Amino acid sequence: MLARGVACRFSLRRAMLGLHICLALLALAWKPATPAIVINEILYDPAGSDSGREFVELANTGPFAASLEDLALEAGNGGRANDWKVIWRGGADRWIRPGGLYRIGLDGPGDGEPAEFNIQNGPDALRLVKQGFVLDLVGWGDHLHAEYYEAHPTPLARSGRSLARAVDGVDTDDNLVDFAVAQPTPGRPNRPLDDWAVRFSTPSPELPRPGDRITVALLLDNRGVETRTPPLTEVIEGRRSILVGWTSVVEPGSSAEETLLLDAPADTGRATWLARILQRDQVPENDSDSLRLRVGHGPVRIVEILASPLVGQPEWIELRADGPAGRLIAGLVLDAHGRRIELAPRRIDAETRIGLVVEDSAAMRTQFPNLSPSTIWSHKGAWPRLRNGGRGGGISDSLRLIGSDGLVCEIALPGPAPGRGVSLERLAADLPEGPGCWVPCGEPGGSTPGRDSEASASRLAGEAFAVRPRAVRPGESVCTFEGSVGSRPGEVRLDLFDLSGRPIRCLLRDLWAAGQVVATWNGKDEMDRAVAPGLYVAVLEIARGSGDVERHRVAVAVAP
Amino acid sequence: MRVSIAVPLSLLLACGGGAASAAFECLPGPARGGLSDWLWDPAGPRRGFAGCAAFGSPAAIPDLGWSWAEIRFGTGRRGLRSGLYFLRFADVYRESVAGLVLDHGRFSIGARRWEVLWDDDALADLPAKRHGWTACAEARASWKRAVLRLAGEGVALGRPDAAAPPPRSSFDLDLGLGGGIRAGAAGFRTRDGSGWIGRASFAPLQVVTLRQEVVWPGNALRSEIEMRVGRIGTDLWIEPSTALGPRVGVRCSFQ
Repeated sequence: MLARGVACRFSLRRAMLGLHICLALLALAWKPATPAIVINEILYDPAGSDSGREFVELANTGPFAASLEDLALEAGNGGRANDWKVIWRGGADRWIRPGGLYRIGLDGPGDGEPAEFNIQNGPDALRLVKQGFVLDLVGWGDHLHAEYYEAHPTPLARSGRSLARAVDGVDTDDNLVDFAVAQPTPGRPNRPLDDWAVRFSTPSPELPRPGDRITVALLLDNRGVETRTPPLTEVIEGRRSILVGWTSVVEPGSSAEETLLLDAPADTGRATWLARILQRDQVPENDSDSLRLRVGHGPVRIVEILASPLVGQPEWIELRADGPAGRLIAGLVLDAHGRRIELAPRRIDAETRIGLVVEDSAAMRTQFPNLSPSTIWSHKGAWPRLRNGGRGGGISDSLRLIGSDGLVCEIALPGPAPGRGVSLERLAADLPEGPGCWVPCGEPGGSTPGRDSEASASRLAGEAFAVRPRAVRPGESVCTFEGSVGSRPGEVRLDLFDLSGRPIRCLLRDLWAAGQVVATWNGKDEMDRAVAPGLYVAVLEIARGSGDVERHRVAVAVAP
Repeated sequence: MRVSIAVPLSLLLACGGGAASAAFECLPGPARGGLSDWLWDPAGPRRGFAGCAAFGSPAAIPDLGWSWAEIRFGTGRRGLRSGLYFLRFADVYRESVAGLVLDHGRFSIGARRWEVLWDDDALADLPAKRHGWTACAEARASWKRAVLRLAGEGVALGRPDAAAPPPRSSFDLDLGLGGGIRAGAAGFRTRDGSGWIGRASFAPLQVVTLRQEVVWPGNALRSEIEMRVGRIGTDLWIEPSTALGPRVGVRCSFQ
């Protein structure tokens, strides 16, 4: 019995000894448990005023939620040694999710809290402290004191840019390696693993007519850090939606592109298409984009341009307003290859409906003394000198009118080359933009500011199909056919025949046209040979399906 | 004296109402087509006076009108034909031809004066006026019920001009097969190429004649029905397959 008791006591003593040894070894290996929280991003110099717009972003790199209790942010004054000031303290009820971000200051997405502090622009530093232990330290600028940075300080970030950790949450204790100057992303990963940004490219045409087919590229930018296949994307147009699937993989920094063919509505107005990524990623803010267009031109059209005036004469652009007389047109911006002027609000004049935007109104009135002063449409901003060195000397500018809603409501593209002092006239009030839409003014004097030329006036008369001039000389002149298809689109053909019905040339074939169609003819056949002098017949055929075929004919004479 | 008048149906429809005119589009120009067709007369000299006139204005092409007239006199073996043609398109374009053809037995020879005028503000150095002379000749031979013709026209007298009526040559064989049936074939060559014309006619009744004509290349068809009551005849023709739409015409004759 005694022997059993001694043996038992001996075993217990050995067990206790072993336990102590294990605890001692564990104590040697164990590091004090500190929260895995680091400073992930700092914006110390926002664009504009700093007040309320600075922020600091913390990241929890650990596997467990971390409390912010007893945490403090201290700002260091790089100008003096050991000069730290607490600018924020964490609350007991605040936590950071594992792998999550916490934004301090500046309202924004994700977890965070507003805060007011004034972080200096540097050289300065910021450190995260808990119960006297420094969890993280970031210094920027050229410091004299090593206590304000880890290994090497980061360069200064210019106004509006932040210091962001190159890889979210990864701290190598070298500020220069860990941080980079970047676009601020408060509450969002600096470089998320999975981030796709969807966007539309510039559509063609930018200003579609009702029923036009619009070509636009849908782009998915891989802004993450991994090579992946783009997620399924949906394009929504009213009640219709198109699903776009992707098969190829896209490297970080690259984009996937899919060309979309969209149909503009049959009525004029505004149209919107929405694209959105169906699979949520780490940055949901850039997962959708909208394409907003105006369908059909706006209330003001560009009808005449003088871009290459004679010496001492001003450039000018003639605008024609539609709509009821007295209607106020406001908020228009004229854009000439990116340079903009703002047009003053103006009411539609009942008589002329014409406004002239001129480079120099005094010089304009000197040149055209009969021009009514009320015709001049005043503007704000420096005159965007029009370029006239395009191909063949034509206007190389693209002129746009942008409405108060920010949408392009009128486009004028370069036309054929005019001579000095000769303006370009739009062929008709409602023509689609493209080659041949503009012709040199044929009036004596080379331009007709403030009034319609005889030719344009007749063009505006609304004929269903017309040709001007009605005689053409092969190789020397061209005639222009203009036809009205109407708002209901259809397949349009414009063919030329001799009087016996023999086809001479197909001038136009458009499978989906609406509004106005235009084509020019130089008096030559399909083989580019001059046709014999005589009379020829142009036939405009509009087929709208269901056997609904509309034909218009005009004759044109060919001179030798 | 024989008088025939060719009236494009579109002209009648244009007078009657606009809705129907779209369904019957008619080409401008003389009823038989091109600029040099109007004086073509395969019949040869006839005894006495005869006359022919036509005019038209297509409903589909405003400002365009044409007319032609012919008068002839023959003694049986010799004959004289004189024709006048005029086409006008607004104030922009005019063309006219006046001709004189002398028939002598199996041969015909003639000359035509043509004139074309363009006048449009867009052509700065216009009015441009062109004129000139062309010659035509024809030879005929018959054997039993067969008739063979060789013809050439539009041959420029002087310097050739692109605006002149185009030259054309042809040969034509016409056979009477009996039972009111005739068949013929013609080969022709123009500035734009050569081709063939096949034609057949059938008279099931003395007062009704059906004619069918096919032109290659292009397979252009022309169908014709002629009805006569006494000295008055009515000829209705249609060319359904021209690229400009069907051509329809009515010819009335008095003899």
